[in-house]
Amino acid sequence: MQAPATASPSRRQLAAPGFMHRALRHRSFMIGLFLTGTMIVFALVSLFWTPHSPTEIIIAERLKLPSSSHWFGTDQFGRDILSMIMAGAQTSIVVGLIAVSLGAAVGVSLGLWAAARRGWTEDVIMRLSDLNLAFPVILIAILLTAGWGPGITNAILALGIYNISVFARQVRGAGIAMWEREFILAARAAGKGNLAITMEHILPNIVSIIVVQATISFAIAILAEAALSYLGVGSQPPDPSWGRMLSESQNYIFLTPIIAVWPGLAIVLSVLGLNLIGDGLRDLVDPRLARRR
Amino acid sequence: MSVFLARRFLSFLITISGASVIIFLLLEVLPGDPALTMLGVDAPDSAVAAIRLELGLDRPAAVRYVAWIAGLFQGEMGLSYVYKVPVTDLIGQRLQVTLPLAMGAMALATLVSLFLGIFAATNHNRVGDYGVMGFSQLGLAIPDFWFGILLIILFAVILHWLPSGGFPGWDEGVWRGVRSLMLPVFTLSLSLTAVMTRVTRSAVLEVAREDFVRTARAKGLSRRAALWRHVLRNALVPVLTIGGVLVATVLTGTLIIENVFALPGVGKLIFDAISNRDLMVVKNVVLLFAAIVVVVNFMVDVLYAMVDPRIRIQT
Repeated sequence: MQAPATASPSRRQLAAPGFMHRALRHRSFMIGLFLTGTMIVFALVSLFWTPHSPTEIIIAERLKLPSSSHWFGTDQFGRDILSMIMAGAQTSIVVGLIAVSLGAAVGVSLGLWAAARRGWTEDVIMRLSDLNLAFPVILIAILLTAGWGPGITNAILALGIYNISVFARQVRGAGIAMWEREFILAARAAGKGNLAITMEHILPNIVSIIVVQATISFAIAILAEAALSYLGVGSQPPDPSWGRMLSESQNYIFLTPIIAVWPGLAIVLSVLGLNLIGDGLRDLVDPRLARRR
Repeated sequence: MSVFLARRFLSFLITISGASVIIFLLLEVLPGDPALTMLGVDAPDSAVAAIRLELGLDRPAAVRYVAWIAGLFQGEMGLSYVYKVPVTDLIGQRLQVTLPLAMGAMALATLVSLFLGIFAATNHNRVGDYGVMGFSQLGLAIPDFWFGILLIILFAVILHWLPSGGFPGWDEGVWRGVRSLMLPVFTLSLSLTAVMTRVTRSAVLEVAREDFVRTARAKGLSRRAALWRHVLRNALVPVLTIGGVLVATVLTGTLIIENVFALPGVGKLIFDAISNRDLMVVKNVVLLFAAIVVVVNFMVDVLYAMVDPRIRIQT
């Protein structure tokens, strides 16, 4: 997760003509794209169609093994597992998107500010980020849940808050390295101020680092949301969630172990997809790094 | 070095104090009246008044915060509202499960990942390397609680080799205790092993490219001797630096894994405390966990500076 701070991946690299060509030939990146694409399609389709209702309870149909009418079988309430997994993708994506956007928006701003100002501003921001790191996601979620009761909002907030320091540290490191470059000196000599240099030169040059981090953070967010929902401090019934499906299925693994397999597979494939995209992007925007790996 | 140490220690103190303030604010001030948080808004006035008196919640927040911290310095964390026993006793009891679980997983992950990381690096870009990296990629993507459930299905439901959960207590014999912790330790070590294998592999690859390794080889050292004498020692530095991150991973991992295997550890304690709205327990356990993360990060910083002098000159 080390940022290629000394390299200069830039926005142009993401849009370079050779980029598409190299991306298409990067096998694990394409596998990642396929897996993530499938998850997004599942979530989108589930907005208007699922094979069965993901929430309808039919006790007569409970704990059925996979069949032609229920491809993945049914759970302890007779709900169709495939439909629940499709609808659960929505929860994962929404939680990941909001949490990562929140963390990135605040974290990137703080990181850029720290890199531009240095001195006590940087000190304060870094101490705050130390403080943030003392609280892993689950601890933040525990605090919010103990104070305000369980709910998906707490899970999103916990993940967002946690991501602030992740982005702030990454961007500060890359930003500081960028500020020491000669073209920044030239911009300064041309009379540009801190804000202008940050927006016109620093940010565009570290955007690829932010994109890579966002992809990885998204994967972590999906894992964490599932864990929080599994523990009962994330999404609440009847909202579909992969993590809660797993915790509910655990009581029935002696009867029908297969029901505990599907939601886990959905999580693994989504997280794997995003991680492969993240690693692939890192290789693609900085080929020097890829060669060294 | 002493200036560096003093600066790091100061920021350590600031972080730990800040953490205690945040915990107190989030649990006892921002949600409103802690007595109502614990009993629910529909609780009868008499019960609310009683709990306020019992836990001293009628005092101003600042006074309660100072009393909490002063108590901590005397080794007191107050009474659990639900269990009616000192929180320190509860935590002490539960650590008998959590500590062996965390340390077992750390030890297993360290052993396996050093082996796999070195193996992958020495077989760079060959089948063995791809295999190890594939395993590590998968280990990062598998949620540990799902891995735990799969292990239960295999070893408890299908094979009947190991218990599916629960912990008999160490009084029932060490072997029975160890048996109940086997699956949890194995589960918890998966993601740790995945991360540490990656770091070890890239650290070994990185160091192996350094000039001093080439010099050692030119001196006539065999690949193996150069690896053991020069590469590994230097490669351990980056592995050490992620120690702080890993301790946080292990801690939060125990919270989850104890719930998967119904182990009566600190992680189970805190989630029971959330359901029971036992704020005293939540407050102190969260601070304990945050403190461990901060202390370990501080120790890693200091160790790192001792190993690599460039760090203390920069900061």
